[in-house]
Amino acid sequence: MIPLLSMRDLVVEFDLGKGALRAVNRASLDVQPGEIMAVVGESGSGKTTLAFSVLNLVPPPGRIAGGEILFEDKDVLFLGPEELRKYRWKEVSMVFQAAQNAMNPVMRIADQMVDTAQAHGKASKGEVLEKASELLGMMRLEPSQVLHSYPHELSGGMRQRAIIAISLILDPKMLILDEPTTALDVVTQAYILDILADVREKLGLTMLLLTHDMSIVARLADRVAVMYAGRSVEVGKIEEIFYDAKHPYTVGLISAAPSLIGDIADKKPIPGSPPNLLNPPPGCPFHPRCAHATDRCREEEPELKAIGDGRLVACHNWWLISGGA
Amino acid sequence: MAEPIIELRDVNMTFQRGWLMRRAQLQAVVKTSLDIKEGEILALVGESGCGKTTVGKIMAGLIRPTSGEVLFKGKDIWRMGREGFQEYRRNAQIVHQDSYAALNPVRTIYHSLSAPFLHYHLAKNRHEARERVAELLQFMGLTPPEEFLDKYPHQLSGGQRQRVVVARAVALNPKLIVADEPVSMIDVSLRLSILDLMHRLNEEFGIAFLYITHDLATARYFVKGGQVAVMYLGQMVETGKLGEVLQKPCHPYLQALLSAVPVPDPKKAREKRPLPLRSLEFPDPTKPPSGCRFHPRCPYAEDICTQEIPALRSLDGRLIACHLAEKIPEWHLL
Repeated sequence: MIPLLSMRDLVVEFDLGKGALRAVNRASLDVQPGEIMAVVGESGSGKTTLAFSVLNLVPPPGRIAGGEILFEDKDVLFLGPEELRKYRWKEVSMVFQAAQNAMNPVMRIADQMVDTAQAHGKASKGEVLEKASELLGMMRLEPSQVLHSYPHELSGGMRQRAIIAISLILDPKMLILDEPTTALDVVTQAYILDILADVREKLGLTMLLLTHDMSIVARLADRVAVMYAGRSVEVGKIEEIFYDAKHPYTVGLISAAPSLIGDIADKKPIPGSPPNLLNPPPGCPFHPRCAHATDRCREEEPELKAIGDGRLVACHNWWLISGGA
Repeated sequence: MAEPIIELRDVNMTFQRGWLMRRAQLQAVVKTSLDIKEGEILALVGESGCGKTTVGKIMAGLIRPTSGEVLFKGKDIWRMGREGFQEYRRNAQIVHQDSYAALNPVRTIYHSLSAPFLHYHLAKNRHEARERVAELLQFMGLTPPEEFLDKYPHQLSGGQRQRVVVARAVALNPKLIVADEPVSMIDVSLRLSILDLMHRLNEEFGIAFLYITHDLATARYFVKGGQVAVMYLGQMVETGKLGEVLQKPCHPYLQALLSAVPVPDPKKAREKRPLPLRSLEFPDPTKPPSGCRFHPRCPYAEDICTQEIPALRSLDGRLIACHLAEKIPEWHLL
């Protein structure tokens, strides 16, 4: 299959005066049409910067220092301003973290939707509102009520669903969701995850889901890319990642995720702490926390290698590792 | 079991919101009673806005309830003399969610941690205080201590900072630590290590914990054989042994909450179906629903639920505030 999005050896650096910080360090990722790809990692792992790069929207002092991003046949990093404007929202749209607080507080939801659509060249207001109603309905909201509301009149969960509807107003091929349910309570979170699973079925939408929470990944994703210190360290299908992880960090993340089911005795934290990206360790960035580390890991950084059937792992000793829930 | 250290008796807490024409009363905590026994671990669980943090602050003596009693060794802390209150203060400490906000940014770790020793004259001089602080850091896993003593909070990682905050709470050897969402801002790979550390404090020094959280999965990990109390909109709805409560939740709110918690296992996560509620929306806390505060969302609500406030009553070895507790269909996690 030809991937919808293909990212090769992406490098994003932030120039902080006291040296360049590599937030994304030669990360590679393919997203197939129609799938939900989860990018999972802790804070500072580079997942948000990676998503910003897909939109070529990395804020200064950050800059994309290397690599290639292809969306269908477009080379995203070489699009001109006008092409980029068309690409964003129409081809790829993004629901930013805490987006429910980013709506214009003095505009009704209907006007925000019409504004967006018209800025991107959809002319008729009636057409836009019809589409908006359909999308809000899909989000299990009452369109007639929500369209005429101001953001403050909606609850956090309703606002988040309205934002997702706005992001879909131009029929994008891919939707990026950055921590779409943090700051929402558990019951609302479950409801929104349900809706997202539904929307994918109905629209055949491709999603890139960024989260730190393995439970959300488990609920929604088809495939997973695990990020650590700016690198993609393991990519695989959801069952492979959860039941037969091959990177020690993935194994650690799963055993560090508390759960309501299963034996608590199997759960344990990952020792040590995430690396300082201004002064990263030599060799494999995970070696100071890894129980399997050898001299080779301390000296030579492992490449992200294919180990069959679309699975990728960046670990010298992957064949010794077997983890799972 | 052991004696209760701190007891809340019919505590109410009302906040004034807005002013003049828009003045409203918010009953954050309604007629709540809760005991913590010596060496016990109790999880107080609920969603944002349910009043769990307010209960924690009342328990730690940071705010005075509008009515009701807060008893320490059987005496009301708000009616005792200065000395008694000081003794209570030493014995009830709090750990907040945001370790960065909890530490003075212009003081070194030594400076922040030596303050309690010097204030209570537990160290004769600065030299001795420094030794005590070093021992404390060692126990908290911040080794070698010399590397941390003269650092400022911003030079530490989130996990290390939270260890410092826990260290400060432990410094005076308290009987109770109120831990309010202590790991929700910590990196996921390190959360369990902070919970493990607090568990060790419980085992080795018999410190009781009130663990306040919205996250039932971390509560299960930390509390182990202890108790859980579940709050909804200012009221306790179900309390009991955590294992039993998770196994067979009785209150419809708790059933809904458990059904909504995602699990880190793809097969089970997709089998799990949220319990359908009549409404997803959290009511306006300044205008709480009549009767049972959960009735507008409850799939089982009957007439009585809209009229009478259900009292917390004993059933099958736990406490439940639901008129229909005997009739609610059984529900299991998986």
